[in-house]
Amino acid sequence: MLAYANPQRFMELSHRVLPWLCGATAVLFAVGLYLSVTVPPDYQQGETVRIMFVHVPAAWVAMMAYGFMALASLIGLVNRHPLADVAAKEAAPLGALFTAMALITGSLWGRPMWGTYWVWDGRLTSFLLLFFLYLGYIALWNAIENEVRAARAAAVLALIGAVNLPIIEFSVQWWTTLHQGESIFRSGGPLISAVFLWPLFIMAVAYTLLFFTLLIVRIRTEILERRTRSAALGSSS
Amino acid sequence: MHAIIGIGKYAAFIWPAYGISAIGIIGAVALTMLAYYRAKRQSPK
Amino acid sequence: MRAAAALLARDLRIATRAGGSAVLALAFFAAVVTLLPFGIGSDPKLLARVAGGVIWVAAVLANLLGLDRLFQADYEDGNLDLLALSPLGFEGIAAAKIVAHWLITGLPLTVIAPLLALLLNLPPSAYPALLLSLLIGTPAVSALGSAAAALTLSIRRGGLLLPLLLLPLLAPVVIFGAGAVLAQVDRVENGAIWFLAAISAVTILLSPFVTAAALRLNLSD
Repeated sequence: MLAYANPQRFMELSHRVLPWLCGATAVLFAVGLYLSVTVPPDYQQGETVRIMFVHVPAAWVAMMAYGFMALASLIGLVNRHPLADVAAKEAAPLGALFTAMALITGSLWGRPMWGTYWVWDGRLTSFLLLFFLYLGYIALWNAIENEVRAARAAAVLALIGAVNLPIIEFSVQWWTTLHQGESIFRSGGPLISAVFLWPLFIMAVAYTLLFFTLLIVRIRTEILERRTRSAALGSSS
Repeated sequence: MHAIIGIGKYAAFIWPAYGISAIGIIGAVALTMLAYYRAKRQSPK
Repeated sequence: MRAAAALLARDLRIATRAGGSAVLALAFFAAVVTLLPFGIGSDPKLLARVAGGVIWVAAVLANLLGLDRLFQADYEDGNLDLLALSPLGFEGIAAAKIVAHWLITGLPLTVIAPLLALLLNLPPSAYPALLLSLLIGTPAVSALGSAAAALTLSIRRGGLLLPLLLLPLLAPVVIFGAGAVLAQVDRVENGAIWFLAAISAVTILLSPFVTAAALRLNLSD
């Protein structure tokens, strides 16, 4: 894995992989969207089940992106690897975007189901906190001018967040059961039946591929920008 | 086709959910591409 | 050990001077709690229920107030580099600073909290829980805060960034701290104080090392 982590090798490899990744993402999105709007409505949730096909994949990518960011941060800190730092940095805005999408679609699902756009439900609340974790990480990156220092500080923050996430999740879960009876909201969410698993699964894979496609392009952008900057520095001095 | 667009009384929540997701995704793709091609143009060689 | 005690004593001396951060944090704490009834009304029953949560939120905010200065003064005048060369090491500096910060803010806040609880009509049975939860929880706030302060060390206006970094991380402490008080108001057993103790213990144990790592990355290049 780390053998490919040399920026030059990464540029060559990603150049070859990208067209396939773009194609696969587009095809999966087309199939997933078609299935999402054509499956019969759920007998319990009715048509609102269709919101799940855009909500659950966004939520999944939002969490996965944080895991990826923490892992890349760890590699960046331990192995002092610039590519891992860049990967963590570029994953954060994408993670924040998917978290925001999960929150908005979640509350649009909640309105007909719960009768209100926002309840302090365990999952919604921990996603709100996850969103703030992303914002803090991005803000820290932007605030420190020295690139190496920014990368290390942000990596430490990402790891603190990763250690804290299970505690946050647990405390929020505990808190919601304290303040509202289980009878109003089922904490596990309604069970989903088999016909919906296919569109859900395909959309989840499509979202995941989209995340990695965008991530790779963003990393390529950052590498190109750094080259430009160092070339400008080299010619001016 | 009518069945797909006018999905009952919940259409007012379902289509915004798809709309927001589409805006988020298309926006992210557009911004990413824009930044990429700008970086490509400016990079040496 | 002697070096740590000397550092601690110096920080305490600076903070308790006239107009020092200790007094200001206390005043801020009291002001936030006083402002609340103007916002939500003076119904004694309502105030009694929210008292624990308000005092906890106000305590966390008061803790954030001077946090960006925790290492910054020593960083700017070069003291931190000298301290790093002392036998204390970064871990020792971090531990001494955390203790100092708690003695300057956490402990005084805990001491005057009952007074403010009185204003908010907290039932007498909940006072022990309030004191105990603040006593257990505020060291964790100082510990997490010092790690974040060390991360934002080189940022000129780091104080603006700190609340954003710390808000999601401090949520569990507020949940269990206020939960412990509410349990006594409602006269139920919810175990919040034990969760708070567990989180606090882990945070306090890990924080000197995380803070030291953050200090190191800001001083080395």
